[in-house]
Amino acid sequence: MAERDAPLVRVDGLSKNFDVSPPFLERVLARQGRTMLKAVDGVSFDIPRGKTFSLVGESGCGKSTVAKLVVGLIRPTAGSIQFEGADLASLTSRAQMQPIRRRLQMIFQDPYASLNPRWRVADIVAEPIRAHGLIEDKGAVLRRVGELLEQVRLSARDGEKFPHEFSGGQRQRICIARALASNPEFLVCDEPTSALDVSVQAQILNLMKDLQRELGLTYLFISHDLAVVYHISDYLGVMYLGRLVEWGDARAVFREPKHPYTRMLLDAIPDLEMSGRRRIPVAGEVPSPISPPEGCHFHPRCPFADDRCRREIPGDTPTATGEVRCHGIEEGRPMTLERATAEV
Amino acid sequence: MRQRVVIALALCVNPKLVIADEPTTALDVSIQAQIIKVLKRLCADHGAAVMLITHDMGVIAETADRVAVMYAGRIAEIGPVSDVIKRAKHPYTHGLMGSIPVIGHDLDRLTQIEGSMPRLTEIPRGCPYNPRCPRVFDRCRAERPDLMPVDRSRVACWLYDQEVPAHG
Repeated sequence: MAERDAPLVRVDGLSKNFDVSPPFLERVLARQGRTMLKAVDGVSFDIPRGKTFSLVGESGCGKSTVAKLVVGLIRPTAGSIQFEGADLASLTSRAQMQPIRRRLQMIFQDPYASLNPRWRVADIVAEPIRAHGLIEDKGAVLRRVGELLEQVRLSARDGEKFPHEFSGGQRQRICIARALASNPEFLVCDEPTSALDVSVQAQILNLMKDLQRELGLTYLFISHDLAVVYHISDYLGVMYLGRLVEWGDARAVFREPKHPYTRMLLDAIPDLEMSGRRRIPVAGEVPSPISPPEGCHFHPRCPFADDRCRREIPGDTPTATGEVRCHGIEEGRPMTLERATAEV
Repeated sequence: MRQRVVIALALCVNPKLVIADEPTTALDVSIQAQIIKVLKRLCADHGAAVMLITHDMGVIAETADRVAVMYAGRIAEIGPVSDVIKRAKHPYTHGLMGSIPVIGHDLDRLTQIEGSMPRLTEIPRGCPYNPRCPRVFDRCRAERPDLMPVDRSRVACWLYDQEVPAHG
């Protein structure tokens, strides 16, 4: 990592525990301690300026929690999030947060729920401008809103309308315009196209790439759609039960996935090319994050697990472009999946 | 797991036809693969026919034998899955296939279908796809095409009308 210039965003040992205990009295009666859910457990990665880092993983693996931590919607239990060297977790007062808040924005999954139905689009898009006091003059605010709407390929006149007059894809454009209103450098996109049809998804993905080029934006992109991730990412991180099991250059991870979980995940993708390749379904389901397995979280589903995997949490092993957390790879254990091509 | 329970429920009465409406849409790829395996086994073991409704082309490519592509309430193209996916005939199918990102294909931009779906109360005259179609010509704006045979598929597009050859 040292050879690259300083990253815009550096996440280091980020953890978040949620208290999911039953109510106090019940706990006392049942003589139970508190129950903690480790939603995010020691996640570290860097995002270079102007690049896209994607997080993938199955539902409940903690991707969205990472997104919320990075924008400061929730506070981490441990670890740090550095934005150009400044640690976000150490900023406690609103006044300290304000200047940095302007520079990072978030786009949410559901464009239906994330726009106030009673506000006109112009007011929605102008909200960050007003909240951060970027432009005082009313006419100038409106002009800026018009510019922003045109930047996301809507018409400046659309500002007069209400959100319900727009389709899902257009609403997501409004969300992007709102996110861009405070001139951010860093956008956290939590499943921005998951609620959209493929043809609309293509429009939004193209728009996001164009904006990245025009404005030099840096993205943290959260998705469970691996094809979308392949298309948009420069770097890729794979999460499993709160931990980052593998990260690296996106192309390299897709071409040569190292961690058994990444390999199974990539193998499970439906094949549009219809090469006749048989999918190897990932066996089992994600265990409950409240009581995750000891050692490597993936060991109950991993075909290569041994005693060490059941006992010890794997550390980071460097790969060509990133890191992987797997005892098997660290030890150089032979790990070839018998391809299921024979089973016809 | 819940989806499996639903499948089991559907099988209770030994049906000849199972209609699966977006059975994998809310699921992760790993679970999706398991559900598809179950559905396929269903066809093989019980001799049940499955009508799969989905917007995930990957799932279709892997599961279906025949596929119908719908646009604004009508079938735009229907045929064997390999023909429709690999040699799409209708311009809409073509655009749809191009808009799907594919792992291993390094494209800077995805093919984009301009505009959006018409409101179902305001479906355009002629071919419903004509305002967005890159290969539109006069006849598309005036007359509505019915499905016509092309190779092994049937396509609702004037480009494939045998009697009056399309220009271009």
